Amino acid sequence: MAAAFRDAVSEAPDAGFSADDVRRESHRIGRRNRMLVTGGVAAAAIVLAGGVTTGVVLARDGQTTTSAAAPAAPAQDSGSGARELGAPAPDLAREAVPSAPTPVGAPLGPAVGQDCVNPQDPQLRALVDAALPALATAQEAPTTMICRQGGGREVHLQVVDGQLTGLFSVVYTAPGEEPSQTAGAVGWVVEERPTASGGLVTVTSRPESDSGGVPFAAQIPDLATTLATHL
Amino acid sequence: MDDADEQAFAEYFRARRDTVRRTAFLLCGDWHRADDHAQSAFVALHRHWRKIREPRAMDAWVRKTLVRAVVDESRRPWRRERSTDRTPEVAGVDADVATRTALVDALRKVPARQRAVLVLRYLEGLDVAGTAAALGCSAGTVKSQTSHGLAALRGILGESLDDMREAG
Repeated sequence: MAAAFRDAVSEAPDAGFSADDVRRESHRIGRRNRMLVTGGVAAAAIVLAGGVTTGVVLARDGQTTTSAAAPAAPAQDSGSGARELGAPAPDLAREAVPSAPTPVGAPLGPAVGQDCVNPQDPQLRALVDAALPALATAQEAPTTMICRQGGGREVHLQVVDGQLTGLFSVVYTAPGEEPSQTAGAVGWVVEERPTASGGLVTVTSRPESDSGGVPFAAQIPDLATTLATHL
Repeated sequence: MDDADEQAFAEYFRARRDTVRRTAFLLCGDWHRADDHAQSAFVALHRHWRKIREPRAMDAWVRKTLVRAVVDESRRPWRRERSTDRTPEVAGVDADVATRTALVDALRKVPARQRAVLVLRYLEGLDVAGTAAALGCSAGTVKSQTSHGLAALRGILGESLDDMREAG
């Protein structure tokens, strides 16, 4: 059997790439990522600043909206019981500020000016790290650059969640583009959300082995919802 | 990377390029796509070269990158694979070439994960544990995928598969 497999590839055509091609492409990606990371850091700063400085409180009857500055000092125990609108802003803000940063300004939306979708998009990575800080230290997962045209964004991370390890992917599909096929994969957790820009964000976590659970499975729905407001 | 690293990468590339291309070809069934995948795997390796210094770890890293990319790609709608009952006719070729073609065509009809298991085990010569490590699954999964993959190949190739197994 092994001989049959070896024989099947015994007459390979000449390779279509050289070490120089690989080196050039590697350097090109490196240069591009260094340029994009500047934008990523700026986006993260805006998002984080928005999360710290702005709290949006919706009235329980849905008729009134109150904006207040978030507390800069550590929160005190607020006790229990309902509060009225107009109560001290810090307490209201602490209740209203979600665990992930509040979106500010226009959504990130499709990537522009790229020939292929970047499998490790720095701007999307900054949003992911801000929304789920436990991923901030995760290493980029090995990916290849199969050229997918369009304005998509992707991040693929090698994650560790306690004893669980796996591959964590966030894929943003720009409006009007065909989304990736992820549903139906056994043992994966997949959440999709329509995004603010009219696209689709898909968050996928898959375990590295069959024996453990899925890393960050519990956080994925909230993460997908949060990212959808930013994208 | 400094000059010494570039030199080391170039040597590794020279030694491993054809092997990686061949594995990629059996995984995807097309030499052009195989070159794309193989080149991308080497680009990814080049970018992570300083982090992966041990040669065996490099092999495993490239293999894992390659397999993951091909399996993932097979799930994407713009490249989603479709099985077909019709095998392309190969006219005017000798028996050896026909056998090679038949195996490659048959592999393309096997589900991507099962195909990956078969390629890693029979082309790369990995054992069950090595295949499990490359695919990020358990040894039991590798065994069942091997069994299902071989059954799928037998369903396509019929008795030819048994001839190959005896020959191998």
